Amino acid sequence: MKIEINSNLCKGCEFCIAFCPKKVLKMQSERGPKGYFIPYLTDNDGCTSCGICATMCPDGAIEVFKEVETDG
Amino acid sequence: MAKEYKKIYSRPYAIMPVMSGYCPGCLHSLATKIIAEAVEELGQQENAMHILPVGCSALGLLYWRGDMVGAAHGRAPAVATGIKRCCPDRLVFAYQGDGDLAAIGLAEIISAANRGENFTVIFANNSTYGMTGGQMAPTTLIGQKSTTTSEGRRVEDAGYPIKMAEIIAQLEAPAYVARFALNTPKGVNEARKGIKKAFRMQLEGKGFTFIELLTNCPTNWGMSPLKSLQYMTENTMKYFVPGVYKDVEVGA
Repeated sequence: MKIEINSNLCKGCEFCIAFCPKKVLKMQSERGPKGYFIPYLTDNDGCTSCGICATMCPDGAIEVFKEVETDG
Repeated sequence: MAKEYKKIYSRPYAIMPVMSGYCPGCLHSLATKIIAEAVEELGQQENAMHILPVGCSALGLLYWRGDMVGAAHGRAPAVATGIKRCCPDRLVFAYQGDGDLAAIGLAEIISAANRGENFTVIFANNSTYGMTGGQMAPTTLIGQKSTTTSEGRRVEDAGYPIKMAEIIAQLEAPAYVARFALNTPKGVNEARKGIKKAFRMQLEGKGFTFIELLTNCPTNWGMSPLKSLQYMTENTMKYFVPGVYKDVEVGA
């Protein structure tokens, strides 16, 4: 997946969902380990790894990955 | 051709991988994160000295990785002055809230700015006393409700909100004075650049640098985190206009 959300750090403020330019983040219907609702990536191909979700995340819970091609 | 994922962003090293003490959607934690990123980008991880005030802004002590000193209420600029004069090579910054800086610590911040002490003050302005339960602060907007102004702040009783960045920019000594809002990705990126510039100017010995960050308080404003960002755009940013108020490098 192009983004990973640490469910131990996320507080479910929804900033990532609101600012995602491609609107590929959505809230889970079940609560995470700390009792907050945690977002998840709905469409991995639709995500452009722009990192705006990680920029706006107050708690630094989001890690961003980029797809790179290797020769192997 | 095989594909693999390469990590391009993760949280900065200067904040520990534990949950912060801030409320969900509080921009204090976003401010702490971008300060940590600015420190890391400058390679000053081991050299930074964080001066903590009293209030919500002091909750940084729970997860900041590095040297910290706790100051009495409002006295962070005075403590920073002492530390910077003893250790002139260290990157010294105070992170203060609006109740701390604009109310009880007004004398210390004006005096430190007027002396042109060579450190950075980062001022998080959320228009309320957050930790004590949402009382009116000097920066509470006209008409904004708080627990001590239940009908909204009135000019006849409480006067006008203090514009700290403009006041500091009037003084002769400060080198860089700017205000940023943290409610949009653009504002966050500008704020990170501004903090980095202030830290760089401090390390070059240019003098006092002051960054005001407009933040929110969803809990005490009684709003959802997203609604509080919208409130900032519609109200806070109209009165506290973001921008660079003084910069000796461009002679503004």
